[in-house]
Amino acid sequence: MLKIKNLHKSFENLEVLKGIDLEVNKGEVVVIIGPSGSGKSTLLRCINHLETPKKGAIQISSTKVDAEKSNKKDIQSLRRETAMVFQNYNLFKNKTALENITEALLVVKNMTKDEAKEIGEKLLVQVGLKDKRNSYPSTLSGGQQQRVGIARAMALNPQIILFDEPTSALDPELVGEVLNVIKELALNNITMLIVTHEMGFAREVADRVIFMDEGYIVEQGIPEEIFTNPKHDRTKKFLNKIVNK
Amino acid sequence: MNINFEPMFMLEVFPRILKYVYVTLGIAVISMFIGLCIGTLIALIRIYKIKGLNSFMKVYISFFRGTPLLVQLFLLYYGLPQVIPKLAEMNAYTAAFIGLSLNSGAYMSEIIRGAIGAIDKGQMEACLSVGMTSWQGMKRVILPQAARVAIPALGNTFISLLKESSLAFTLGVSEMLAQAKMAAAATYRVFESYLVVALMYWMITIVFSYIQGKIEEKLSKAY
Repeated sequence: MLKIKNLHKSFENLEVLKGIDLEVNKGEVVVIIGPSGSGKSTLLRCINHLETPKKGAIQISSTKVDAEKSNKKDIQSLRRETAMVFQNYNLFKNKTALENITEALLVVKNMTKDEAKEIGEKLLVQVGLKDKRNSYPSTLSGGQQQRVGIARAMALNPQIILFDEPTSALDPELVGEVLNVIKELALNNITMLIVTHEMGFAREVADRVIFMDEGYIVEQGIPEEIFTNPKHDRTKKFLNKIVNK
Repeated sequence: MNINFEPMFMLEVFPRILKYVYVTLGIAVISMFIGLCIGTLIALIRIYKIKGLNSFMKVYISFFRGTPLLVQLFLLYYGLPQVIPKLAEMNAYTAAFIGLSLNSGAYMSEIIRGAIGAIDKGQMEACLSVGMTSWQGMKRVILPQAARVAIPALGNTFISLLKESSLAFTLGVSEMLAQAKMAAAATYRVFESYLVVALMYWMITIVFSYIQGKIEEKLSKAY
């Protein structure tokens, strides 16, 4: 469903992605782990072209974008096939919780107000924020904001949802409520690519875990394998550090 | 010491000048509106770094901020028609509108550009991530938030415009200051006449500052 081929990305002289090949199947939950600066977030942000890759190809369903000859229209359709949940939520600050969810439905999918509202309200119920429909992001807690962020991503009914460290900015006591929402999505067979530092969560929710370091995918496999029996030294070192923290 | 001040005369001049408040307000409001359009357009050109236009706008802003408004008005009204005879048809009001709009537009473009720059980058990224075009994101998410940031500074620009509209007098526009000058010339009560007009400008700016405060209060409540 998602196919990434030989993806390269550099910032100035720093090469952050050094040739990533990755496939994600429909309904699969893939979790990416790895040390800071390993390129996890950049990889995610290249998939919807928030960062422009230097080289390589990204394909989602029938939309294929080659980095070297990408045009606006291709990028647009790539973005319409994906949705992203950000580390800092990035809710539209001038819009209420409900409007955050309906905005793209109205503007991108050209739905009527009633249709969009119906979907928006259903999703708010699903993430447990029915009574916050008219609240602005500034009045919501981090956990609540992130749940709206997830609802906003789901509203588009994308092929894949990209989670960029969705709980890293949260107070520890709010992490659980967000992870629970994501776990529920996983049960509903929604395709997800998740960058996270929550190892317990990764282990629980992932169909496949990918370990990245220094711009490469070092190793990947089912969570059991990666967490209990990693093959590479770098993976072992990383997991040791995390576990012993 | 003999003080020669006649407050009663001020009451006589007051209605005469009051009749011309609409000219002052008209010039300020219309220049503000046109200037705001120019300013937004320039800000967008500079943010999107539209080739060619971007450097031109930098020169435009530099010129209008770097020369006195009075000189700009003289250039426009007295100077340009000599070079381009067709412009001789332009009347003093029009020249005042154009001059003040171009000038305030230059200032406001910087205010708006700064306000847009102050909006967190993540807001536009979120717009793009849900499939909006960058223009849709600008229109529906960035500009409304930037407007809130810019309102205090734009309010100040408007108050400046109210006062600067008095320069239209030098082009021969019959506005408040022109009336005060005529009253002064006709009666030799110079101090009283100009004091009346000064107090009227002051009153108007107080009223608009109050309105500005109310708008800011309302905007900060919204979210």
